Amino acid sequence: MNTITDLKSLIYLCYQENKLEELISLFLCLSDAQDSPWTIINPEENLQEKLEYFQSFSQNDYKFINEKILRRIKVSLVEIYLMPKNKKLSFISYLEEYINELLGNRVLLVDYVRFNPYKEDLLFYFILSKRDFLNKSLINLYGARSKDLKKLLDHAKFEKNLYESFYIFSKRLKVIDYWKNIWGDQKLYDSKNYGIVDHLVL
Amino acid sequence: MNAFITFVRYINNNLHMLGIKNPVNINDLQKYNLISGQPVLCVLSNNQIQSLYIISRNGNVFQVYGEEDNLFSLDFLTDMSSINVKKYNGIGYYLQIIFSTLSIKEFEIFRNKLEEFENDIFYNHLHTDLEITKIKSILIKEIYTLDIELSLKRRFLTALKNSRLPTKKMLRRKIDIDLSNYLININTFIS
Repeated sequence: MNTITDLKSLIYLCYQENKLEELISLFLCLSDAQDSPWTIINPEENLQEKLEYFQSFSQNDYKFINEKILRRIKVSLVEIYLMPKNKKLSFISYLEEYINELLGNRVLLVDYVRFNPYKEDLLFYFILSKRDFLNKSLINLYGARSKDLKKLLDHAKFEKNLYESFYIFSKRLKVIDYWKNIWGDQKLYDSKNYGIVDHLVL
Repeated sequence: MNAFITFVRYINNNLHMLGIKNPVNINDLQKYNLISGQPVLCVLSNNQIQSLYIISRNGNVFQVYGEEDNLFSLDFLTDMSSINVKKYNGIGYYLQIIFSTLSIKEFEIFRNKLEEFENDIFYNHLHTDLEITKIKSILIKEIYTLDIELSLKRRFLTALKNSRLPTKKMLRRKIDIDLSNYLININTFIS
């Protein structure tokens, strides 16, 4: 994969051949979310079960899953990682459009926050919008996560700067490590362990 | 009018942009809290800065100086940062290794001293003909002279000594920049 044109035509080919998984993995990798848990929800599926299932994997599992999917279309994660931001972003709008078209009435659910506390918690918003179809314990779990996220970011006290030095950037990475050690662990999302959240200290 | 991506070099009111002859109005930029090693996008005309854009770590550009967004009227910009990008990535790689040994609390406590340390490293070495393989030993020497607790110095030195060399791909990584709202293209500077 050397040029923008190569990747563009590959994306179009995937779209034509209905390769939704490949497009999703590519989209997540280009958006620096290659380790985010994701799943496709059909309207007739049990949402509660699906949510519990897709959180039952570790960070490496998802990275591996996406890497494996991308290998099917001969794209490597390293290649994408090294691609300049400008180029990466130029594919996002195509991918979004194609993915939405292929999804139809299904929903793509991505938990961006599980391994990255700086992303928006779209999964929690989704859960709140579907609260009538979900157990209270699950809603409370994601509510607690959302509170912990705010607490951690408040504790880290980041000032708003347009450019961040390597020092501040390293601090950001450290906060990600703290977060992963708490809410990155799949055990917390297992319905047997819902109470464990109460014992967490940030 | 010409546009450039380059790095800032700044210490004690002494401000430069690497690879660019000092524009006459460079002192207008003193108020933007620029730091050494910071990538910026600068538009120049007749040795005057027309506009300055700060490039954030995730590649977004923010115009902080100039009344007009000159990037709309330009077809090309020159990437001068490519001359020093290997050194920038190399220094950044080792700095991250050093700083990763700090806790969130320590990041607050030592902020001033260590940000100054980072600024000094970039100020003194980014513009030089520094070999990538020598960055580690330079940092080790600089850490010895740092005015911080001995235990912290030891932590930094151990982390550095145990670190691997950065890969070639890592070093060659260009500065992230999102110009998707503009029609401008990037010319990479070849010396």
